[in-house]
This record gives sequence, C-alpha cells and structure tokens, in this order.
Amino acid sequence: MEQAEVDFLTDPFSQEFVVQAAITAALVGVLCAVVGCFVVLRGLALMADSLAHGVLPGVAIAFMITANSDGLEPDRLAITAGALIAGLVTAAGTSAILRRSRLNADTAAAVAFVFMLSLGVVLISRVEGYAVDLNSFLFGDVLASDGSAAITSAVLCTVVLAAVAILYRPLLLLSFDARRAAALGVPVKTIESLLMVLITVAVVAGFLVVGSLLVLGMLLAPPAAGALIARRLPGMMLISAAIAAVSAPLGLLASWHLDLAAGASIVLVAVSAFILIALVRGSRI
Amino acid sequence: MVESKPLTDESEGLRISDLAVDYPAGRALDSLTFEVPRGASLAVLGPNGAGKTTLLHAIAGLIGTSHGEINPGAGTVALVPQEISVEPMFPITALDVVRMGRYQALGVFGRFRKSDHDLVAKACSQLEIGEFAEMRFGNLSGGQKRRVLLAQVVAQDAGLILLDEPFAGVDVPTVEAIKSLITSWGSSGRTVIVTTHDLESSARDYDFVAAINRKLVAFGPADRTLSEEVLTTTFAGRIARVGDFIVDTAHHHHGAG
Repeated sequence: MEQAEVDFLTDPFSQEFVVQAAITAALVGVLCAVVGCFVVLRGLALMADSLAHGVLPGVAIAFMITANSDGLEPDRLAITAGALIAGLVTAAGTSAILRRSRLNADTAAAVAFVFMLSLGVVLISRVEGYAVDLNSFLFGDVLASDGSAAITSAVLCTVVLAAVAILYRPLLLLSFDARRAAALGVPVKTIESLLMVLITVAVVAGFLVVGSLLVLGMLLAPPAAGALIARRLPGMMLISAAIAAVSAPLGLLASWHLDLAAGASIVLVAVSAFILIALVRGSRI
Repeated sequence: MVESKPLTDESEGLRISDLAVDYPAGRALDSLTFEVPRGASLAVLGPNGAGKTTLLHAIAGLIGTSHGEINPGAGTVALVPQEISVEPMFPITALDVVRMGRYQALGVFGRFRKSDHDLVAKACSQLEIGEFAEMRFGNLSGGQKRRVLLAQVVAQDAGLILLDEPFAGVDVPTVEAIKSLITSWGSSGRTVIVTTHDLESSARDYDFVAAINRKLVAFGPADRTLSEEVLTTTFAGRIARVGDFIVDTAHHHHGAG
C-alpha cells in the first residue's frame, strides 16, 4: 500500500476527537444492531421510530433545566436521562392505548409518538437558543463525543448485550411466535416490556450519535442485512454487529475526506452494506 | 427410534368442570364439564365459532376463564396451533424450532444435556424431518412446518397435548404420521386432545368425542356418542345426509352416520 493511501485511511484518526467519535459510534452501533434484530424480527420498526421521536419532550425539559441563559452547554447526562424517561413514557403510552382500545399496534404507536413530538415542539418553542441544538437533536452530534461519551456507550453496550444474552431464549420464543411462547411458559407481557426497555435504551444511545431522524437506520439496516445472510439468530446478530462496528470508522472516514455530516455518513455506510448484500443475494431474498 | 418414556406420575388425566370463557363480544364457552383419563385421546367437534380453539387456549392457559376449573393432569401442556405465521426470513432452522421444545424444562440458562439431545433426535426421527432439519423454517412447506411443530411437542415431552385442527391442509403422509403419533402418545400415557371437522375419523380414531357448540352437546366414547341427533344439534342443521355419509356442509368433510 502506498504511503498516500495509508495516510488517506489514518489521517482522520490521528485526531483524538475522531477516534473517540469512532469508538462511541461503533459501540452504540453494536448495541443498536443487536437490539435491532428483535425490532426487525418482531416487526417493530414504527414502534422504534415512535420512540426515537418520543424522546423530544424529555430532551427539551432537560435542556430547559440545565442549559445556561444562552442556550448553550446543556448537561449531556441530563439530556440522556430525559430522553430515556420520555422514551419509556412513549412505550408505556403505546401499550396503554393498545390495552384500552382495539387499534392496531402501528396506529397506537403513531398516536403516542405524535403526542410526544408535538409536546416536545411546544416545549422547545418556549426555550430561547434551542434552535442551535435542534439540529443536533435531529441529526446527532457524534463528533462532540468525548471520553465520557465513549465510556457511557461502553457501559450501555455491555449492560444491553448482557440483558440480551440472559433473555435470549424468551426473546427468541417471543419473536418466533408469541402464542407458542406463552404455551411454553414464557411470561410474554413481561418479556415484551423488557424488550421495549432495551429498544428505548438503544434508541436513546443511538439518538445521541446520529440523531432522532437517523437512529432507525442504525436499528434496522445492519439487522436487515444480517437476516439476508444468516440462517440462525446468533449469526444474524454477529453479522449485524460487525456491519455496525465497521460502518462507524468508514462513515467517519468518508465524512472527513468529503466534508459530509458525520452521523448521516455512518448510517449511509450501514444502509449501503444492506443494499449491497441484497443485490448480491438477488432472488434469494 | 427411541421409545417414548411412559409418564410415571400417577395423577389423573384432564378434568374440566363448569368452564366458562367470555370474550368482549360475548360468552364463547359455557358450562363445560368433562374428564379425559390419562393416556386417552379426545376429538373435539363443532362448527366454526363453536369455541373449539378457545377451549384449547383455555386449557393451555393462554386465555383467562370466567368460571370453572381446569386441571390438566400430569406433566406440562403442549399446544400446536392451527397456523403459525413466521416471516420467511426469520433466521431459524427447523432443528432450532424442535430444540425450543426443551426450553421450558431447561429454563433461561439450562444447558442441553444428553437426555435433551436424545429427545430432540427422537422427535426429528419420529416426524421424519431429518432431510430439512437444517433448512430455514420459513422456507418449509405447510406440511413440513406442521411436522416440525409436532416434533417440538414430542421434544417438549408434555403430559397433555393439544392439537388445533392438525389435519387441515396437510398431505396424506403427514396425516398418517400425525395419527401414528397420537397412538404412540396414548400408549406412553399422554393425553391428547384434537379439534377436528372430520366426523368419520372422530368416531373411529379416538377414545372419546366431545361435540360442542359453545356448550357441551355430547361427550362420551367415540364409537357410541355421535348420533345423528347429536350432530344435528351440534352443527345447528348445517349437516346433510348424502347416501351413507353425514356431511358437515360448512367444511365438506364426510363421516359415517
């Protein structure tokens, strides 16, 4: 390999903030990819999208409490906690609508998310200076990731992967057929609720990196690519985690050299991997 | 083929007393009382909407009951639903689906032991799924899927087995495989309940028959229970006599009168 080519690949990563961004995005990518397998298998894409937008009021309230008078330097941990709480409220609201009405899951998720989104926008309209940060809410700010963001992502990733390992059999049974799972003694409602918590954590972690509009790409594209190749769920998880982990540095590389938005570049690489695999697999999809 | 291990538990078979189940739309089952001895087979007959599937779901504990008691007897309860909708792309092999039958006994962490592997191997051999064991479940034909789900029940080693219309839409070899499975379950002390529209087979292939239409119309030994009067009441007149056959006009299956 020529020196120029080596430089092309290594230059961006000589900067500490790019390395931290790559580590954070890769960890969050793996987290989203593994949880995303169950989003894909259970057909929960709209539910996940609803959670991604439902975090807005929590983010707005955390911003109002912690940002200074110029609307700058909000507390990242408070934003994360606010997003997590609002996400769980959205999930619980969706479940409540489903229990109390005969609407289907898509409609219930959409009603809950539109309520949370409009509440978030109303709150934001009361905050001066939020316009600057609204951009990072929609598209994330992966390059702002510092060492503590990488550590937070590593902790979240470890906790969520451990939870998936512990709940693997019930989650597999639930995803395969909820009725069969119940007949085999799985406490379906409890496992469904725990899955919602895992998806919420993944959405919040992903939203901090790529924003609420693009987090769905991290949840869906790598698992969808994995489903095209793998014959078994562990294989699907491994392939999708590998695609997510590689998408982070590749996306940042493209972003560095082509001067593109970092978060969007990462998601674009992951979705391109899916498209490439789909084309190669051709009629076997 | 490994022989099924007879259940050693001395407890009785299935006991249902004064069972009622309500849905938002109204009462689906009312005042059902019957007993099936351990190791016996029962065919549940009735028109669409009679509550056959509801009865199985209530016994399996999938739905709540409004009144009465269900005692499933010895061992765990296994249910094979009429249909299972799994995405073709779901990454799971037929063998994995059979192995799921052991999850209840093994719990969340329990590792597969030799006895578990033996039960799975026996199930695969009994249902002859060897040649498609490593294929994706979603790519199998309807009959093959039914065999895999039945193999899962064999692997589950349950004491009470509930089959919801197992003969609907499967080929002749699969029908024969299911019938021989029901016989082998009976001889190893397992109780089997089958919902069906096949009147002729109900009278011939099972120990007991329950004719239901929200309520129990008749229950008793299979060869002595299905009178023309019982069938007429059960199917609310949707039964026609054609020559020597009685026909359930809603399903076009025939049976001896």
